Amino acid sequence: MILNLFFMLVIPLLFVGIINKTKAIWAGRKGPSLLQPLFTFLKLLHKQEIHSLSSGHIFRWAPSLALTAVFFAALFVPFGSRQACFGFKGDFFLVMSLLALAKAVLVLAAMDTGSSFEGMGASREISFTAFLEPAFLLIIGSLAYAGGLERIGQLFYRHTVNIYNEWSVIIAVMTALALFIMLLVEGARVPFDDPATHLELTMIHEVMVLDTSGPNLALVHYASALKMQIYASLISYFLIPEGMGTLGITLVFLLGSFSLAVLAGLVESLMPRFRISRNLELVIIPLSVALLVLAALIVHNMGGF
Amino acid sequence: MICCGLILLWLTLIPALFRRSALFTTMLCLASVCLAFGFGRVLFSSAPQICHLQLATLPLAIQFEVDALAAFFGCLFALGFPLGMLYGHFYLKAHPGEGAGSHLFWLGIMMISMFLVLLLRHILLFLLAWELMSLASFFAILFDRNNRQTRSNALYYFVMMHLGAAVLLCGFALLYLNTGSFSFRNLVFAGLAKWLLIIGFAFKAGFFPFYSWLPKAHPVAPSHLSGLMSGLMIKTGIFGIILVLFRSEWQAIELYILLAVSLITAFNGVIHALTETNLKRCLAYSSIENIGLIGVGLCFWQLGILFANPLMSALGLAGALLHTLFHSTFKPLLFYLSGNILLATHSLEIDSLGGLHKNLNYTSKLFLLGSLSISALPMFSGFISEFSILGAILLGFNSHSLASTLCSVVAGGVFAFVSALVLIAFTKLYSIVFSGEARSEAASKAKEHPLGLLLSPAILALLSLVLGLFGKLGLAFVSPLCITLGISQSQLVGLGGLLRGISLILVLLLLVSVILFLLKSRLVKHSRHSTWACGYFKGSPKLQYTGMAYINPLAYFLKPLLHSPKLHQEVQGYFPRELNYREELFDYLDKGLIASLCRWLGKFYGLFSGIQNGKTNSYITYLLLALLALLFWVLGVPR
Repeated sequence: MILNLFFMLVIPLLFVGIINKTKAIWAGRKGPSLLQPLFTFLKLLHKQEIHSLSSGHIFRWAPSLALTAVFFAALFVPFGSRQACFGFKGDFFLVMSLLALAKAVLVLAAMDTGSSFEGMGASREISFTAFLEPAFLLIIGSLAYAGGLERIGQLFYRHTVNIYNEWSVIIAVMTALALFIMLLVEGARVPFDDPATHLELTMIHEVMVLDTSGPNLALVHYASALKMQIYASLISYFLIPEGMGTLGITLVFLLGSFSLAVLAGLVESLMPRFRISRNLELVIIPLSVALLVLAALIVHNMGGF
Repeated sequence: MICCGLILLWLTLIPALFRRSALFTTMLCLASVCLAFGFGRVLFSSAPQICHLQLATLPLAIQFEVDALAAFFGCLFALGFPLGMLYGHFYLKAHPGEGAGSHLFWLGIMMISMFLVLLLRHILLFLLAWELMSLASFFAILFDRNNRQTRSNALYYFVMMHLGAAVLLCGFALLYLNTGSFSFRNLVFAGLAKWLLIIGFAFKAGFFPFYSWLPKAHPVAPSHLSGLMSGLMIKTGIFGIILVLFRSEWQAIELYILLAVSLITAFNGVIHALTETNLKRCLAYSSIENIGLIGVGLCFWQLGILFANPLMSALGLAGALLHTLFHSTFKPLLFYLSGNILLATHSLEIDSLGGLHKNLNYTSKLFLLGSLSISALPMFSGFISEFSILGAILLGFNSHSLASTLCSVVAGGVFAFVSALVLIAFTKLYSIVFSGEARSEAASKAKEHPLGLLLSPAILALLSLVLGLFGKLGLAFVSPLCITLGISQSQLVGLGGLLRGISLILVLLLLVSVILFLLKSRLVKHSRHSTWACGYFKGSPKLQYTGMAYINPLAYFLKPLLHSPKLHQEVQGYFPRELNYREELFDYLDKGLIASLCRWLGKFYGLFSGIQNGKTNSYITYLLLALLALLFWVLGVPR
């Protein structure tokens, strides 16, 4: 439990740091330190906040609520130990809804400023939910298909990749692919969104928090990083074989998160950002992949092929 | 107790006739207290109560039966009516109309008939009460009768309700033919009759494709009535559907059809709620979506029985009943607040509002609570019920039964999609109406209302927050009915334990976020500045994002499902002076199917319109023809 909390606090910002470092190395630069996001976070905490004149109460409390909601969602996901802090059968809907709550209040805060840029970001950001929620549900459904509904951490932990069983590999690879795309979408990374862009019209997440400043911005940054880390840790729990010791689990988890961060950095270096107007069509990919996984499972179970 | 309450309710009609709205409301509250106690006692003792009423003048004995089902819905109504009328009293005061007396009278009749629908188990009397309910609500809608739109939409409602009643009548007639008994107390519905009954009730509940009256009737009704109709009256349809589902045997294929209809209802409702620009019409479509979700829960109740999965069945039914309960708190809340907006700005078009969070401070906060509840976000009531229904769906994913898995795949995918769309629809609604800057002069001059108009919304908002934080309370309310409908106690106990855990976590979440916020606002200095507009300044409120712009990324996908004719001028010349653009959204069902059906019907009747042409000579010809025909008949009949 303490291990979970420790990693929840430390890893997310490091995750972003690794992505940035990978990008820098790929581009032949030295790049900022791995801890740069953490320094930025601490610097922002010392700053003053500026609130928009148009905004009301939501703008003030939304970042705190968003961070708390993401944090509580993360409590249901194991971070480095065998079990998550909390958990009950069917807790994935709570996780999904908590992430939705975080997104909803940030969107409301963005709309609260009355800025058309922020409206644009908010509208794009919330539209992604429409296709990500069903995808997440179907992924959970396909994991529950084999052995019943369990805690979200257990669902991923229990599924072991066995290289002698091609079905388990197919399912793991495809589910991991879907989750990785969801990580990129939810974390507002290239190819769906470019956190380093300088034009407001092409941003999504960054433009949504255009007016957020100081500690509020710090909270939003941390929440977004933590959200990415939730997906990363779910993916890395796929790789953990059953019956592994606690130390082993922690090691695999750290290694998995690290390699996912590197992978995300590589994707950012190698791929251009998608056209904004076609973005949503590509967000459907996880949904279709999840359906494919389910179809594969059902066919396998029926004794086909 | 219940009889006493009903008698009191009848007596409220006297002050209604004399337009004494305050007295009417007080008496209604008294009657509701009596009824709530009566129904509550039956619900929690779970022993059906039967009372006979022998009227000397009538040849038949009126038999009231209060079973758990009736008691559950009775409790809902008895809690919802006084809150609605409390708001209605102040609303009528702020928005006086000439028809206030008759409006109150019909409102009273409507409430009485809604209780009677629950209590009567005699076919003829039930139909009479059902008819009275439609009729009374029709007259109550006509409060603003000088408006042409109101009259035509109310008439539309009236006709739709009668189509539903006709189907119901056929169903009951068939039932009578099969069994020879007028009482349907312990009958098993079977065959065609159960389908006719389901369809008849579906008209009232607003299932696809019978929902088209809701988005027409709600916007023209006064807000308290829209709240009562949408929050409570459509639940009589759900009451009927539960009755029919419980009392009949269902084949797998029939349940798949019902599930598909429920999913289509939810999906169709939400995409219209997403794109609609009129606040009340948007809320009406969202009611349709909620009814669809309740339907999904009910289908999984029956599917659970079919697949021999008792937990699925328990979660489905509990979820559906919880959603029924929650929907009757947050939907009236949103309707009452839309009434406040209407009174303050005289407009319900969301794109002409905006920035109301400054002027309508409390209204905006309450509306936010309602929106978050309906979007099924944790800490608010909608979450608990959707959690339960989704749990039922997720239990279907198992390797033993292909049918169950496929049901779950389809239902789960659509359900999650719908709930995400609801989130989008309601963040849009709140942020366009309340956030940012005012888009029109009326909106910038709006004033907050006195306490009266905020009282019952505040109670409802508090209720939906408390029910969302402590899901166990809601479950305690629905579990007696669940047990009567054949769910075992142990399943519900399991769910209760889960909900207790969830409420612990949610309360913790609320506390942590409040502490974080207080800490931050204590330690951090802040200053105020105008919104960053990328270096430009003096932005106009017109530059803000509109509702249509907000949903634009999704509208691209939904376009084939929405009928939106556009009217716009071509740009002419190099310096065009003015341009007109107009886009309206229509419902395919209403503008397509029903309108063309009406046209065909009109054409068919037009064939006969030549008969009565106002010419005396043709009438004399008809007379002659009739006489001749009679003559031939008389001569032709053999002795």
